[in-house]
This record gives sequence, C-alpha cells and structure tokens, in this order.
Amino acid sequence: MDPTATGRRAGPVKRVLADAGPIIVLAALFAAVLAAVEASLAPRIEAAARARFELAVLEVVPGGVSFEERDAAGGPFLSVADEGGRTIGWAVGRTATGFADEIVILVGFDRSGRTVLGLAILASRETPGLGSRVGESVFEERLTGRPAADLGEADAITGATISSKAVLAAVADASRGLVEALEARELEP
Amino acid sequence: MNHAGPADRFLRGILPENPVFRQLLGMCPTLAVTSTLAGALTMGVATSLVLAASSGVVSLFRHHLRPHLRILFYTLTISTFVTIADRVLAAWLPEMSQRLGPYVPLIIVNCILVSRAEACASREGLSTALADAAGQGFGFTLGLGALGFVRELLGAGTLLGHRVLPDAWPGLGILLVPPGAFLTLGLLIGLIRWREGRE
Repeated sequence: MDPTATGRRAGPVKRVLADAGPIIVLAALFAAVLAAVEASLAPRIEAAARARFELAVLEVVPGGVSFEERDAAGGPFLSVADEGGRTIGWAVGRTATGFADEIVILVGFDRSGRTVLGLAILASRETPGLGSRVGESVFEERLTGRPAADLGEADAITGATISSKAVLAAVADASRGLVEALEARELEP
Repeated sequence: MNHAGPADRFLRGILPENPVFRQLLGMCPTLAVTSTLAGALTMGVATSLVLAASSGVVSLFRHHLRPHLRILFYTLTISTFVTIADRVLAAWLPEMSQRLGPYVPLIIVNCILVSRAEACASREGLSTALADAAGQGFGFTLGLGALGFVRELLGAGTLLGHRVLPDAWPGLGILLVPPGAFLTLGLLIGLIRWREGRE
C-alpha cells in the first residue's frame, strides 16, 4: 500500500501524521534509550569527576591523605591533613579567565597560606601546545615552594603568556583570600 | 557503483574512498583532535561506532522513510548515538572525554555520517550498510591515526604519551598547533598522490 495515496485523500493533519509517524515513534524510542543511558551512567560520571577532584586535592598538598571543606569568606577552603590528622596545608579552587575559556585551577598552600605547594588544572580549553602548557609539570615546578605574593610576569611560560598570567593571578588571589581568612581567625589550621 | 557487495564496500573506505585523504570529509575532527595519537584514535573509534550504529538503523528503516523527511531522520538517529558515545566516554574514559571536549558532541555534524546514510545505508541492505560503515569508519580512524602519529611523534617526540624520540629532539611545536594539522594533512595527501602517480 502506498501511504501517499491514502495521504492525499485524507486531510492535511492526517497526511502530516502519516508522513511523520515513523519519525515520531522513533524519536520517542530514542528518547527512552537516552534516558536509560543517562540514568545508568550518571552515577559513574559523577564519581569520576569526584575522584578526579579528590586526587587533585591530595596532589597539590604533598603528603596529604585526607581533606575537609571549611567555609569562610573568600572560600571554600579545603584543609588537608597528613596521616596523623594534623593540618599540613590548604587547597583552594579558583576560576581564571584564560585565552580560550575559563581555566579551573586548584592550588595547594602550606599552613600559612603563603607558600605554593602545588598546582592542578581541573578544566581548561586553552590552545594545545601553547596555553595548554600551564597544565605541564614545568609550570607547577616553577611555582612550587615560592611565596604566592612574589609570583609575577617573569614566571609566565613563553608561548602561554595569557594563560599563565591568568593562572598566576588566580594563585595570588587564592593565597590572599586564604591568608585573610586565617588572619581574621575565620579559619583555624 | 551502488551495487557493490559488502566486501567491496568495506575495502573502498580504507583507501580508494578514504574519508580523510580522498573525500576530505570530517575535516573538523581531523584537524582539531589529532595533536595526540590517543586523542585521534579515540575520536576515530567513537565516530566509527556511531557510524556503524546509525547506518544499521537507517538501513533497517529505509523502507519507512518519506524522502523529504530523510535528513531529519538521519540527524535524529546520528545525534542519538553520538549522545550515547559522549556519555559512555565521560563515564569510562573521563580524562579523554575532558580532553576531546566539545569535539565528541560535534560528531553529530560530521558529514561522513550523513553522507554514508544518504549514499549507502538508505539504499542498501543491512550487511552492505554495515560493511560500508565499517570500511569508512576504519578508513577515517586510519586517517586520524596517521595525522596523530606524525604530529605527536615529530611535535612532542612522544607516542601515546610515551617518550619515543631522544630528549635532544627539539619538538616541532608548530605541528601541535592548528597550522600543523593543515601542514600534516596536506603533506600526507601529497605523499599518497605522489606514490600513486609512480605506480
């Protein structure tokens, strides 16, 4: 049977439905499949993001084995503790405006909040080979052990000037916020 | 030309009708995600799986298609499978998914998929459509892999993240940035044509 033949005799609504019927059925079927896929994978996707974050927190404060979120103005701040439960440093997240898009960073500081212990780039869409180099270990090594207040343009990576400056400014900002919160006794190590 | 059998369809996609080197289709991922071999291969495999699934569905439903609605039907099918591929990558290869970023959802607008649906899957039976998708997908993966191989090896001195060339290798940084993708693609196409000219 030719569906067009019946379609011509029927009214316009029926004709459209006859044409689009298979697509509507298929669209509903696809929607159900996608809902099932999303429902089954969402917990795993969230867990992966969480694991990536937790790993980064313990990486930016070397020696850390656990962490705890603390609220304060300019925060939140994560206090990172060693095996004995003693706070050995802080991890602070910041969002910098890079060249292509926002760069989400996580910086580790010592107990005073002044010295940089580590840097992790959590999300970045900077130009591969240029701006993306802020995610390389050379950049992290360049900052490690230095007071955040001393970081300046000279620490930027050649070829990644915009991205490095954005990250450096965010690191300095994170340190300022953390030091202020510590000095105001809003945070206790 | 449209009456080729499954085996012939498969072989055609690998070199005579290679999507990257011959049809110059799917240029967006070809240029954007081939700065590393791992990224290139992941994109190639993801695209191939989406291509196979959508070609299969299009072939199965080809008799129910109204001609003027067929493109709508192709994109609906393709976007469904791309969304599944995107979610599966995010769940099982989160790091790679982050690295490929928007280029996985962008498989939806990869013209290889629509062109195979239009040129083959909507006209042929399931086995021919699947063989065609497998050949084109394999050819696409091969093309991306070749670019990724050259760019990562000469650009960074590594392959799949492992150091291959000695540390003294200066690293041709230009190969890792977008102009390097154009240069590599042009040189590879030139190389293939030159070899053929000599045969």
